[in-house]
Amino acid sequence: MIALENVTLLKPGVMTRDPILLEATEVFRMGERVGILATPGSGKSSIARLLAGIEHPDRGTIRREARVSWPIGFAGFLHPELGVAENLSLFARLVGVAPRTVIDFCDDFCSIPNLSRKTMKDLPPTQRAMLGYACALSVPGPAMWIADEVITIGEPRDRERCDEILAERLEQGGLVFLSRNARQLKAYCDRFLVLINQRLVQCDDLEVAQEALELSAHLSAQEQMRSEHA
Amino acid sequence: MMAAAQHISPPGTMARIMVLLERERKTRFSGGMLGYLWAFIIPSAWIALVFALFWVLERTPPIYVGAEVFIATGVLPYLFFRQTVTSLSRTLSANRYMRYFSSVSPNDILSASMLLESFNVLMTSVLIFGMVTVAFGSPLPASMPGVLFGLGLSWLLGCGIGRFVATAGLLSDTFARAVPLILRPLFWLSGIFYTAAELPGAVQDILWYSPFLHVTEIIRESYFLGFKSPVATVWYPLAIAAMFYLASIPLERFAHNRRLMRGRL
Repeated sequence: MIALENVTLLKPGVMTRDPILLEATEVFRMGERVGILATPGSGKSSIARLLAGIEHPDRGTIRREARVSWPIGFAGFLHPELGVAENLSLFARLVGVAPRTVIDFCDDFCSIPNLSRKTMKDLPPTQRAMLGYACALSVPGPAMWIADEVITIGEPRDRERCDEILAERLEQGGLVFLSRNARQLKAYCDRFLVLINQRLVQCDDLEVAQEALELSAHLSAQEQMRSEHA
Repeated sequence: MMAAAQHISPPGTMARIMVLLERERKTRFSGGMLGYLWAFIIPSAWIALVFALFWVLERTPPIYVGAEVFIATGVLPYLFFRQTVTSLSRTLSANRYMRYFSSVSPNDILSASMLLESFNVLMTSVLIFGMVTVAFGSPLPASMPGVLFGLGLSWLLGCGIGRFVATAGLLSDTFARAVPLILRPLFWLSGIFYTAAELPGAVQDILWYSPFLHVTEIIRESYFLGFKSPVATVWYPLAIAAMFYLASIPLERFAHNRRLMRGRL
């Protein structure tokens, strides 16, 4: 479970800081699959990191029960100068899973011949992304899973595999999926929120939410033009 | 079939630091043929360069010891300090993605770099002083613990000032870029080329404020039997290191609260 109480998140800065999220109070429970619709540039990734405990709120409190994943699919922690096995072993020790478990899982998931004997430089970008994705899902046990735009990865066959493993993981966990894509949110989630004017608003109809977001973006663009003109 | 889930206990602070240290150690000099040999090559090249400068200027050490060991006792503490500062000033940005594992804090990342540098200080000192002893027949240190203590002081200075530079660099990119320029003159103020005793009184009084002169003199007092420094004090470099370390704490807090960092997460 992740419980937000009056949470405000501001953009980084020394003096003036624009808000990303204002006074949000929300609970994401295990067993739930919550989709958050947000426009590009509205601070989706910052909110995903906030939920994952990587960023801290500027005001308010966040309570977490059970493990919370980092945004799945993130592969930045895999060092390009290290071998795949070395990367996976360091990763496993850092998250508290036996290295063998992670290496076997990634070998199995990625289906890349001799994966653990390769260096990161041997892998093309798609395979690197697959490996990052596999790392996130290799951590067993109940968890709240966070997805920031990326929920599956690779070719259609790989995506099916991602869906299969993710469904397995979600049997014991919850999902918070932030995306700009209403269709994708509908495919994975059963409850929806929309990030509009820095507020998280409950929403049953994503089409209406999408239109509201577009209208809001249009109005703020007009307002900006008017103030620049003035 | 997926492998059976097999948990190990989640890592505590020390275990996390050790994993980050291992990652840093494996990647520090990666991408070339020579790998970790660079940790040995760089100080050797500096010593050779200053040795050549002594030879060109026909300068002899002010005390009755070989130029090579005199230079090594000056260059090594300075380089260890610089290396620690450089490593700390880069590490938060280089390892920022490790913060995706919410248990990894900037403090863990800084501590891992500090520990790795302490290991480098020890290994490089043994190799360089060993090489100088074998190749030039220089005598071994009069007091080994004293030399280690002096090298430890240079590392502590690097940790204190490096932590300050790392955290202040989160607040100002300009400061981070200016640090190498600010530190450059310290090479001339650290007693690599001279001892405090041969400096005129007024110059000695000014250079007393360079903590590196104290460190170099402490190492030479322990290395060369009978050498006594008129300036060396232990408390001064320690106080400078502690002052910068303590000053870095509110800076780190401020950067954390404002979510300031170099590079994007």
